[in-house]
Amino acid sequence: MQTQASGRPRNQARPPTCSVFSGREDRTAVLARLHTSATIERHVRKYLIQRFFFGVLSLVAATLIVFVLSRAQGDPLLLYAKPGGYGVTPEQIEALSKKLALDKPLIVQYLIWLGRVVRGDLGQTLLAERDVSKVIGEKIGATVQLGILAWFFATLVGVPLGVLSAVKRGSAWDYIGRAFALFGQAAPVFFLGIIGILVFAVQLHWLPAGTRPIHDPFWPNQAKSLVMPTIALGWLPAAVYLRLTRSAMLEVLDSEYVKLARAKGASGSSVIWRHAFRNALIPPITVSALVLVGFLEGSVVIESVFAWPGIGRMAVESIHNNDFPLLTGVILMFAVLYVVGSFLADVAYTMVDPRIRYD
Amino acid sequence: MEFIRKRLLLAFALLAAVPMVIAACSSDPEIVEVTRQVEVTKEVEVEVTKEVQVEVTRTVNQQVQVVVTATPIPTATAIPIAPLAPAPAPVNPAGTLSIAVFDVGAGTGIGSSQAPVEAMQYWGVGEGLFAMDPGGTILNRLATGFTLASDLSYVDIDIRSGVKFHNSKGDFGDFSVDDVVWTMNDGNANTNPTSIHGQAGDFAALFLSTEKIDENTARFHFNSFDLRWNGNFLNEQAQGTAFFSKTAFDTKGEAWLQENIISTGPYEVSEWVQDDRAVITKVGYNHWRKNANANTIRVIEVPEPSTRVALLRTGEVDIAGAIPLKDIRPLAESGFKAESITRAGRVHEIIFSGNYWEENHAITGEDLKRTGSGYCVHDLPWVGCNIEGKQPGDMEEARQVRWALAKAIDRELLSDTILDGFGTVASMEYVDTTAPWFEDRWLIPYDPTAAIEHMKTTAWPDAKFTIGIWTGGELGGSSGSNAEINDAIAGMWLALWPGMDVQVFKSAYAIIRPGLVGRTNTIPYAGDCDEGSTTIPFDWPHGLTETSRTRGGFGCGIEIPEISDTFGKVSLETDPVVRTQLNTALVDYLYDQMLFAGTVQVPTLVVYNPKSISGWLGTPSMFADMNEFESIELAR
Repeated sequence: MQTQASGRPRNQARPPTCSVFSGREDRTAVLARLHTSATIERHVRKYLIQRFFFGVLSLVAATLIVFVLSRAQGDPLLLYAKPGGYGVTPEQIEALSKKLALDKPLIVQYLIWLGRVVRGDLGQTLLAERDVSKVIGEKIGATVQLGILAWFFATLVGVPLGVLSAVKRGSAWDYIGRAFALFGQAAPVFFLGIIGILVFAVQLHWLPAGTRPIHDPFWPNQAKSLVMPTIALGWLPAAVYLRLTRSAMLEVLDSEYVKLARAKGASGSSVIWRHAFRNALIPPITVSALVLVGFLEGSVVIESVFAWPGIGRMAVESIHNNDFPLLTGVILMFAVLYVVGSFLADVAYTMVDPRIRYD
Repeated sequence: MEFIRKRLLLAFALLAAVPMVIAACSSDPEIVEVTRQVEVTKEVEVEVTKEVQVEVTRTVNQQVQVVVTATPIPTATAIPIAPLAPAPAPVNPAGTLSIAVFDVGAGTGIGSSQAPVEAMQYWGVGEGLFAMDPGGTILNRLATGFTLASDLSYVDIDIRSGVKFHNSKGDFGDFSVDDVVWTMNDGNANTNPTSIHGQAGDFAALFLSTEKIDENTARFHFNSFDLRWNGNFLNEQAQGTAFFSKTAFDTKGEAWLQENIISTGPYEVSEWVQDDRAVITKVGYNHWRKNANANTIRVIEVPEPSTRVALLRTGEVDIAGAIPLKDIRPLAESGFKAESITRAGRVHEIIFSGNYWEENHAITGEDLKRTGSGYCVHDLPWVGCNIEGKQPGDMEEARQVRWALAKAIDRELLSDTILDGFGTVASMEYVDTTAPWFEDRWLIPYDPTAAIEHMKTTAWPDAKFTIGIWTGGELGGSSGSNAEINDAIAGMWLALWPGMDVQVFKSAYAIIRPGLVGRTNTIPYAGDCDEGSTTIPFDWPHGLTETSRTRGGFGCGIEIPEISDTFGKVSLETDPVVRTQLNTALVDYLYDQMLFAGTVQVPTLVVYNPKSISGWLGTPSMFADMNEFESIELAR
């Protein structure tokens, strides 16, 4: 059998990618063509412009939809008609409407808001007339801290376990990995959290029951407070990573070029990590960026169970209060994260598999 | 195929193993004869043909011999449930307390629309002009006295001197009349139309403005006199406000004062992060009223009740509010203290929303347009149309429906189960069943037979109609009782009328708010209508939010002219005896109409670790479950 320079059999089906390159060119030729600097530059520029355009469009669409939908709950000024009293006077309604530009048509209100955003001003909350950016700033740190740790936990546990499970298919390791995945996908997050608190905080006294001890100067205490929320938040994505990695690895390990690599005498670890793992990484990477974005948008359940002062709970509160400046500001932040996260995922594809291009 | 075969074998092996294990763990089957002597005590309800309800409890002593021939089946060994560990040693250093609460609002000094201002004065950071003692007597706080104009057009309030403002963030001098005038006029919607103070509308209804008379006196001009002006609207534990430093506003600016609280209480704010935590510390000078015992108090927002319980049990917090009642007894048995610090129990009731009976606005006289096509189109069984000629007999029929639904609620059962015995039965919103002024005739009997009879007299004899219950805000914070009570009531109704379609709505307040404010809501409202606090004196005017008087603001879905009329009369009446008579007549009327079906009184209990705290005596509050942090006595 004739083989190409990369070791791939000529007629072997290629691993699934979103590539559009010609199947008749060999890998070296393709890379050579793609890596012509002018071609790369042209493709990258076009791609970035496209992504930027669609990113801005997404941000405008997301915030406009939220801006409009927030009025479906009724007049935002009803927030001030709290239970138990005389409520809001007509003079108050008029003055506050003018102050908040609520007396203008909805699209004008949106454009006013958008104009302020361009100048870096997200406005003030209805509830307490505090700067939206300041309120978001108070919460984002806790969310980012927990989100990144949970993402690392999910990735560092899920992907290696997936590889192990595939390589040791049918062994005890495989069953352990699959049980881990099954439990992670089946157990509700709040259940994991509450059971974790009951066992590790109340019964064993190993970990704190909740809250973020930012005033505690003793760093191990701060680290301990992160353990349970991180695991509870990261378990489900870890299970997803595990399953994706396992199935992708099994598919790749069964492919002809891997068999050939084995036949050529490549070592086991070389086959797994150099030939198989890289090709199996694309599905987890696809999910990975969006998982990270999801984590950075906060988790209402985890934040509630562990009294973690993150942005998820704040977003829900802003919906309950119909505090549309805060809600729109939060949605804008989420949309930016999503757009950037998707972009980074695309970039990551090209790093993992240079055959992929976006034109 | 091999894989499937292996799986099948494994499954069969597991199935086979189960009976083997059961058999192995059990004794051999045998025939036994058991002779038992059983004493039976039975409660028998006897219905007498006369219209007198008699409840007879008869004890039957009868020797019953039961012969049981049975093959013992293997039973699981009871797993011993470990009793809760005793209250732990506190984690915090001596002099520092942590409190887990459901919500920490935005800690803004001014310009705040919701709870934070209230929380501040409840917690001992801010102070108001008046407070109330456990007997209902109005106490002076920042006021030293007052003089009411004979025509009730204004009140002159004497202001206390020698009261310091919090000084850790700068020297803002002593509290003065200027601070009273500035705080009131900044919050009052009449003098500041863009005010979003929580009491902006209340102050506007009550006071036109506030002005300085001299260095010791501020004059509050009444817009509409209400005898609760000091007991409620200027009471720091009710609808009142804390007072802030005008000097701080003038020297530091509005933006600074929104983020920093400068007031006069025994505690000052060190840190406050919205929806997260507040750290308050004892003031560094001799406080005019009371020096606090705890040096630092951390108030942490913990939304999940189970986590609040866990934090108590690990010693991470010393105090927790809004603990589910079902969790309180185990905590108390393991040594924690559960007390009603503010005596603020809340009445849970079903308000039969949709009964908008007022035809003209109670204050402006404006036609409320109830006689046109927009009124009584709902044809809801519990809603009566009092427009003459509209639907003859409709009012009476709706009354019968409401009585049927009210009598179908087993209040004792709700109290014993959902409230775990901590509550009491309730009847009407304005009256505490345990208070001296309560009349036994206001009790609503649990009588399923009568309930069915009431329903049979209506156009819905089998109650085949749809009724919703909207679960309002949790009574006494988010402890979950309200939702459980409503689920139980829905079950009680369905038990009597299986054809009824009962829907318990648990949506957020924001969803139903437009209907409540716009007076279009027809979904029965469950909870209380801000009148259900057991600390509200009976001789006060009641039912403001059940009238057109609060149009533009909150309402509970009913507008009843009798409530509005009585409210107006009682507000102006100076004789407490007459006020009580007027309110008694109103409650009689409301009982007859059964517009609110009271169910249970839910206590607002606070749980604390006795190894941290030896005692805590708050003052009566209309809404708070904990207050007067300065009165907390430390155990170490």
